[in-house]
Amino acid sequence: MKGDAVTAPHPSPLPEERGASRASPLLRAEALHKRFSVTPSLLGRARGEVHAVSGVSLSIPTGTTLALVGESGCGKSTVGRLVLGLTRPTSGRVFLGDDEVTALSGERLRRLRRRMQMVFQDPGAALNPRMRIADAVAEGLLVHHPQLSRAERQARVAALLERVGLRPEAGQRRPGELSGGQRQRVVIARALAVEPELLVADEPTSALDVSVQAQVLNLLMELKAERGLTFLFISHDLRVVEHVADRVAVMYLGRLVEEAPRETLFARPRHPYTDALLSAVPDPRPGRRRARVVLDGDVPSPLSPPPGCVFHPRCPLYARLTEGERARCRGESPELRTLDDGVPSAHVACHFAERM
Amino acid sequence: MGRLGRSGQLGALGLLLLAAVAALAPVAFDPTRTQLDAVLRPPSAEHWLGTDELGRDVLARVVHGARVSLGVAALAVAVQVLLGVLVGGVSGLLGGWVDAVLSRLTEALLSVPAFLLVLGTLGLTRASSVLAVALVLGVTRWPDVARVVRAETQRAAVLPYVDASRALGVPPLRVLVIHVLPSALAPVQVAAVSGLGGAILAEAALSFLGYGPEPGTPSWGELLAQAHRHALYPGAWWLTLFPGLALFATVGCAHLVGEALRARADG
Repeated sequence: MKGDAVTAPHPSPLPEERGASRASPLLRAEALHKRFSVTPSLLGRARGEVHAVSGVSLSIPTGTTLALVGESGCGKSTVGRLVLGLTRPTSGRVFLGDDEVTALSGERLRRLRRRMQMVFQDPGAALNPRMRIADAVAEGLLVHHPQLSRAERQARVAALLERVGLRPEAGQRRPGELSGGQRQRVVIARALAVEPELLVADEPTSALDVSVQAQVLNLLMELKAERGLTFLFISHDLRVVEHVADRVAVMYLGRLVEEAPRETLFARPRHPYTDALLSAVPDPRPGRRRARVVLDGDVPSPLSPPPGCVFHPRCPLYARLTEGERARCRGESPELRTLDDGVPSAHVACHFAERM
Repeated sequence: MGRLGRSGQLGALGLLLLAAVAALAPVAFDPTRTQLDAVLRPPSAEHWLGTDELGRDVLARVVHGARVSLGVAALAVAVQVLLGVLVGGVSGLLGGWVDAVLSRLTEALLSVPAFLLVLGTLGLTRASSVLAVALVLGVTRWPDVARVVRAETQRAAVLPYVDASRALGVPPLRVLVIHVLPSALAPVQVAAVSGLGGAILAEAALSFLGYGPEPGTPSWGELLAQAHRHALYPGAWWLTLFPGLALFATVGCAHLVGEALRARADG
């Protein structure tokens, strides 16, 4: 073991929150990196690289929900795709149980997909407009359980539609005839059809009307409890995350800046970026106003991230540091570490998190 | 054929009617029977659309012209669509250097005016059978279709629901057949029907210039050319009006159907 008592050994898996009583994690991602090259024209050479995901490690114990939050463009959706093997990482590994997702391809990866499914942001786009609902839900069964008879398949589809709150007759309709909330229920039913263990939900409610967001969230949480599902829940909406997550990981410009149990993170954010995100969430309880932390400027271009800590140009804490301390923020990229504050399961990537 | 709208349905009806007439033509009319005692007669009860300078019935010739014009156009469009889908589909799906080569070929062909290309090919090969004219029209006109199909295939391959089916673990071939192609081919219908009108006009223009199917074949362009050559019969308006109207109506119908399909494809 290298590293001292304070620093979590970074790309190795994060320590378990509740010790040995937990089973080994269902999903484990180790030091994921993804670079996309930016090619300006057909004949031009790659002009630059976007480091969309930079050293992200995650671990989700079976039956729990990890929420991945951050602004749009921070790389959280890319992490979701890397986890599912829909995008190949530049480096790093992903494990689902004992199977290494990143080592498989073709037919073997296709078979592993039975165990991990995705719920998409825009259910209207995620369903083939020409396909009847029942056929869309049946597609996974057809592929992964070809031994089922037609009648068995139809019975399963009907049961799934009913479980997600749709009437079986809806199976004869096409996506265009359903509302957004109904379509998202179909997408959920389609994912559940193959009885996955892991569900990656990428902004599953952000394309929906506010009135149906809660219904869809509740459905997801019921299903989680009922089937022991493990969730990677990707969202920019902290109000949603507060309801569904067991642990929360915060991303900024491709990096994890904080990862902690939900209560811990919401009660006392350890990273100045998390603090700013939380302060932007309106608190409906009267008299409970959080001091608003307003960040200056925009998220820097991922084509040329700032040196050192990528957050320092916008960091409210940085402004309060001495010049010598600031030099460290500009020169050295902070690793995820635990603080000496009695919460060993909270990790933060900030040199001066103790000052928060 | 639902949801085409009124004008689209009208166009489709017109095309079907024309096709039926063309199919039945040989039963009812003989376009080569000459009646030298009745040359250049205006429309009458006996010859509804009049007769030409050899006493041939203009109605019979216009109806037989439909066979030639529609036949040539249909075959040309079939060849055009087949080649276009093949080249465009392969280009869009495979990408890389295959796409680069095929795309440059497509663009090179597109940069030459299609009609010049047709004239040149026909002039060089001295081909003049109905079949040859149709083939040359098809072979020179596929780049339009290829471009559309390439773009559509590329668009369809990254559609969220195509991605979703991959995430579901659907095998690649099934993804292609069930999800990608149906979406990519919808605009091809539009291109095909619009191409039909274009091919009919192109055939007529070729015949008019004397590069069409061999002389004596009663295509609409040939009928017009004939009337033009015999413009020394002043006042024989029926020789040009009726083939012209037939041409106009057919191209108009194809256009209406094409526009209706386009509107439907655009949602």
